[in-house]
Order: sequence, then C-alpha cells, then structure tokens
Amino acid sequence: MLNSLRSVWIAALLTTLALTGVAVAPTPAAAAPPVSCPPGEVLDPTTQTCVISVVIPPAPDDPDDPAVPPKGSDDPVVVVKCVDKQRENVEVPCTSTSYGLDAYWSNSWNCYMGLISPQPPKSDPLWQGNTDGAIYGCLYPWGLGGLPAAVKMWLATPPAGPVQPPNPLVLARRAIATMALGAVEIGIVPEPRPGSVGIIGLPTWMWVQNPTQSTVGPITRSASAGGFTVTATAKVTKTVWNMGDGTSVTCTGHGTPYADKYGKQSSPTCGHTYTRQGRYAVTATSYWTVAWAGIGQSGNIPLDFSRTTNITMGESQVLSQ
Amino acid sequence: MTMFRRNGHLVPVVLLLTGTVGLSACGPGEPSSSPSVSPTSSTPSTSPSTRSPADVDEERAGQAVIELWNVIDKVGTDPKSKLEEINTVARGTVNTQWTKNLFDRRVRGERFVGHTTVKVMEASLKKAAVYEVSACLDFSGLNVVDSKGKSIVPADRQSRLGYTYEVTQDKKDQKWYVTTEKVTGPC
Repeated sequence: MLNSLRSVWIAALLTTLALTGVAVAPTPAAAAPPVSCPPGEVLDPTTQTCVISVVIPPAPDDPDDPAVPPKGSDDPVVVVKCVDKQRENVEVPCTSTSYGLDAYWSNSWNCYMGLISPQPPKSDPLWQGNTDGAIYGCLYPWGLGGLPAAVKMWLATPPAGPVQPPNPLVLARRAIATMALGAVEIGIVPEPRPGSVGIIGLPTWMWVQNPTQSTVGPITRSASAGGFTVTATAKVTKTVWNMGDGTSVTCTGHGTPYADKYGKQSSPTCGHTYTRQGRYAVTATSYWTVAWAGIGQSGNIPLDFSRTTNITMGESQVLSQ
Repeated sequence: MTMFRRNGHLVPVVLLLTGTVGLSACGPGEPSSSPSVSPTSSTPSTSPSTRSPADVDEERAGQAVIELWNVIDKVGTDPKSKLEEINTVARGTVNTQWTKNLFDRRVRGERFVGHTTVKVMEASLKKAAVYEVSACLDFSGLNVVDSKGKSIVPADRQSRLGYTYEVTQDKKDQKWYVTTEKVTGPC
C-alpha cells in the first residue's frame, strides 16, 4: 500500500507543481548517495553521510560488574591510544579531572566520559525509565571557540575505552610467576645431618645441589594481555653464604661439589674455614636478576631467595703417648 | 493516517496532496482525516467521539516520530539548546545515536538551518504498546551549515528518505517514545 501511496503522492506532486508553475530540480537518482552504510556505521539523514553507529551494550547480569575493567586492573583491554577524531586523530590524555568530572577518554564517543555525581533521581528523563545503568557525562573540552561541549546520557554499562595499555611491569611479574623460582638446594660439607661433625681449621665446601632452571636459571618466560607481550629472563648472579659465624662468603658460580678425592683441599670456587667449634646456621641467599622487555620498554627486577641449614663444627683431639 | 509538520513553502502543495493521500489511504465509506498543517501542531483533527483507544495510540505513535524530528531540528538549530531534550522523545538506540550525532555536530560548530518535514505514512501495532511507524522525511527545507555558515549538505542529497520507526509506550508515564529507526530508501 505504501508503494501505491508513494506513487500517488509523487504523481500528485508533479502534477501540482506543473499546475502551479513551481520549478524543482529533479532528484539526481543516479548520483544520489547510498542510503545504506557499511557495518558499524549508520546513516545520518540530515547530510546523508554515514556516521559511527553507537552500540548500546546490554546491561550485565550483575550491575556491579562493569563491562570494562576498573582503572588499575591487571586485565587491560586493547586501547593503544586515546585519539580525538574531531581533530585529525590527535592524541589526547586518556584521563581528565577537568570540570569536576573524574573521566576517561572514550574513543567511540570521542569525549571524556565520567559518572555524574550525584546521580540525578530516577524520575529524571535522563534515565529514560531505566532503573539500572547510570547517568554519564560526555565532555569534549575543545569545542568551537575553545568552549567545552557536554551532554549527559544514560548508559547501561560504562562506555569502553578507559583503560591504558597494559603496564609492562605487571606483565613481567606475571611471567616471573610462571617460572616458579626458588631458593637453591644447599650442598655443604660437613653435611647437615646428625652425627656429622666438621673439623675446625679444615675447609668447608659449599655448592648448589642439583641446580635447575628454577633455582639458578637462566629461564625465560613470557606473559601477554590484550595483544601485548612481555618477555622476561631470570638468572642467578651470585649466591651469598652467611656462615653463621659472622662471616659471609660471596660465590658467583654454583660452587664445586665436594668429593672424597679432594681430601683436605679447599674448595676452588666457594668455601670457608671455621675457627671455632659450635653449631652454625648456614644460609644461602641466591640473588637473581630478571631482565624484561616488551611494549617498548625494558628493565630489571631483582629477586632473592634464601634457604638455611645447620652444621656442626668440632675440635680435633690428637692422642699421643 | 497522515500527518505533516513544518511545511514552509510547501504548504500549498502538501495541502493539495493531503487530500489525495487521504482518499487513497482510506477505503470507500471509511472516514478520512484532515491533518493539521500548523508547524507546531500536527495532530489530525479526527472527532474524538469516533476515535477508539487504538486510534488514539496509533495517532500518538505517529506523533512521537514528528516530535522526535521537532527536537532534532530544534537542538540542531539552536546551539544553546539542551541536547538532553532528546530524552523527552526518544529512547534506546535512537536516543543514543541522535545524542551522538547532534553532539558531534555541535562540537564541530555545525548547525541546522530550516526544518525537516515529516510525513507519517502508516502506523501499525506490532505488539502491545509498540507501534511500527513508517514515515517519509523531506529534507528539502533543511540545510546544514558549518561554523562559517557554509552549507555542508552534499549536492546530491536525497530530498526525501523513508524510515521505519519503532515507537514504544512507557508504562509509567504513558508517553510514546521512538526507540528504533531504520532507513528504507527514497520515498
């Protein structure tokens, strides 16, 4: 019926115009712009240009669970830059506290978005009859004549785009967490077992028992979020042995495991000699350096892990007749 | 049902057409309505005594589309008017989209000159409290200018575009709001 109505309407229009002598330019149908727009855009009929379609996300099941992670979240989304499309994509600060609005830049709305505080009463037309969601302010600071433009609106969920790119340090720490780094397993002679007594004046040998990637490195792991990746490599740079007698021995290698063939020799790499008898708590502290790089940045994270064991030193008794 | 608004210089033409459309739209023996051509009131002057509640709803649903364009024109024309006025006539995607469209124009210093003419072609009940309204929008009386007053309307702009709207009645305030819109092509 509409088609027939339209035909009648147009026919009548043309007839009338012809009768009244009003001249109108014919609609250039061939050159007319399309009335359909590509996906993600919608027609603004006033200038018949395609503009970005604003998508209203459905309200979440839990209104307290926003679609966008809160600021400071470890789960950032992919928003590389905050850009102002009205000014040829010039980069703008991603947050703003101007005009009393604690706001973040929304690339889709092209303005700073922030919760209006206090929220207007639910009877306000701004709510559009909704009881969930919230009223947001959209503020564009660089309006015509340098004046800000602002509008308040209801949205079911916070508009996307508030989050900065991921903090590379956060991702580096995630990568480190997957390495399961830990303290070295202590190798020492005299052995830390009941009945084993070392002789003062004779060398004590220290070494890292059963070294693994997780106890001495090097170990490399990566962590990603939002399409960004940080790679970290961890390795032990030194092990400091606190011998329990007030002295510390720094060993850059893993030490040399003692064997009977070495007899009374001193350790060639990591050793100590006690001068007083007693029971000593020996602590091995391994110092790590984790070098990380990603998202255009790099750095080092120091770590250390300790393990303690106990040994007994005694005095040698020489019997002579 | 046929309604008009803001006819400007087209008034005599439209008046003539109104009769044509009215006769065509209604079958023999059916009452034809006489739409008002006042720029501020476009409610058909059908006698209240002959109108059923369904007729009233249908009329108000069509009127909501006209009111939507009243507000769009007003906000687009007057840079000091409140963009939030769109909340009085539209909800859902229509509200959000037009808020953004008009906000972006205001940021750029663009404004409307003139008015859009809305011709409601048909309003049909889609489901309870929801009407589907077909309308023909005539933009020949609307110019859009930039901050320097220069028209930014493409020379080949279609002067008339058909749209289908969904208009929903709010249970609380009983008002009708335009909630969705879809362009259908030249009309």
